[in-house]
Amino acid sequence: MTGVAIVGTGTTKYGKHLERSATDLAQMAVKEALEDARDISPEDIEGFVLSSQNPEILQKQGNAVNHFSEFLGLSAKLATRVEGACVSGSMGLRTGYMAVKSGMVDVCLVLGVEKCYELPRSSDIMAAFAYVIDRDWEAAYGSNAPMGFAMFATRHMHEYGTTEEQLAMISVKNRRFASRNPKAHLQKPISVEDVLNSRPVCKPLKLLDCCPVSDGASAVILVRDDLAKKFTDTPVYIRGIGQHLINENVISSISDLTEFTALKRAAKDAYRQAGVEPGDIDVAETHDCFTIAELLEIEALGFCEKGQGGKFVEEGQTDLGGKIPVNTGGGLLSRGHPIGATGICQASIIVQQLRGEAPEGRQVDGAEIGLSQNLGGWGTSQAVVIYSR
Amino acid sequence: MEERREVLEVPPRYPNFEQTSVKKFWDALEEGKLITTECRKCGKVEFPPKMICTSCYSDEMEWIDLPLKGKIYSFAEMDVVPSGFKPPITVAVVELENGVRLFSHVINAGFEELSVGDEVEIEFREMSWFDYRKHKYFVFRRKGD
Repeated sequence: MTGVAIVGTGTTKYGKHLERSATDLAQMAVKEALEDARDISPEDIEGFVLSSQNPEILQKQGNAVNHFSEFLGLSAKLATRVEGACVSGSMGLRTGYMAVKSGMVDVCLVLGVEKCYELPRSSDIMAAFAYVIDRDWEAAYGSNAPMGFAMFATRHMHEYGTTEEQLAMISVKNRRFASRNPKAHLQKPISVEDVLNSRPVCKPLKLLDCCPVSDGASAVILVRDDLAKKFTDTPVYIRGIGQHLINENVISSISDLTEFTALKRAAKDAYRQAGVEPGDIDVAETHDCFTIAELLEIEALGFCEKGQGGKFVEEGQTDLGGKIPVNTGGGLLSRGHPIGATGICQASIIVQQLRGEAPEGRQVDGAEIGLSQNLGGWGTSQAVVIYSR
Repeated sequence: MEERREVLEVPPRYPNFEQTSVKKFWDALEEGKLITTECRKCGKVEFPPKMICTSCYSDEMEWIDLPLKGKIYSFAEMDVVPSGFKPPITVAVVELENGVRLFSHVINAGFEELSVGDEVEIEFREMSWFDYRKHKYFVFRRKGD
């Protein structure tokens, strides 16, 4: 059966791009992905999947896939835009994967792009992001992104004794990795005290428990596995790609605020497809939009027992040299989070790891199997991708 | 002027309390009552209320009164809030005596004063959106204050 390989990746620096438009960022990421592969030109691209969360509000631009195609010189026989809040990127990867695996196309570009700093003020950007939250039953009462994750944090602390210090350690680790990633949004190392002393955003979460708002674009080129060597000497294969969405979208509807139930299901499916277990994963990129999210993810992905995430982090098991290094690219917390691009950037970080091309201080020696995990909503929409050389 | 520009940049959001099959819920709030739907066929009680049961897809729904007492399941304090709100806002997910969970503001306690399991009572307050939409909604008052 046809498999799917990644033969090229590209990503812009993440951050505030006040002098670049969404289409500029898209062009930069796609150019880099094309140049990362060998002997590939825009005419070879038969499929175009665009992951973008909110160009309608952020840029006041609809018909996004056609809009971007103009600037990318693309003429595709499969073209679609994918949106699922913060998991848009991995939903796009999965759509591209299905298109290639089904035989519909041989070469597919998956592009994630989000340009947030076009709106004049941070309160405008927050209002735009709040569009992902249920309007009538939650957002109308002031709910915003940190709120839902703070609810998980409070309940996890109550049930398992997880501490603010343990959460802070996640942010410190990811910032250290970001300090070695020139494309990361925030690169200056921080301490546990810096996190604990940062101003409250949504108690118990503080500013440095939260990812920044970033502009950026990321792209990958997917091809049929039997064509992979034509385009690169170092293909990375997608071995499993699981997704799960549950009908709990309003914060009060979530049956268990101490775990990501949908992630447990998505991960189970991805592990089954790949024929691997959590212990086989050498390196993981997870969706640390807030520190508590990374903690819930290492539990749901089976890297440690439920409730033991805080201890696992404290022991350094998610750092280089630990059982499972997590977010060696800096994570959303420090690399940044241009919404639709994130899941695709995670794939590029894993590709870099499996090619052995990450810089010292980030490279996991001899990494063979990697995993990326991306979420939307209050973690109730999840995707997990497993990769190998 | 400043406020007006903001409204134009990102269209404001407020609940749809008119064109909805659960208008009865919104009308009941104005009378100081909290109601939701129960499926006559399978007995499922849901919040938010729905015109069709999400378990058995029956459309035989009945309106029932919700208990006005519950306990805090989790909580947070919003120190950064979207336009149109004033921080800090303490919010909670409350589990009512019948197991239904609700999300709203806690009006009489900050983050440091609250604990999971604290008992709360439901009250009704007028909420307003961008000064041109108003409606009553339910809020939580921690007991004993």
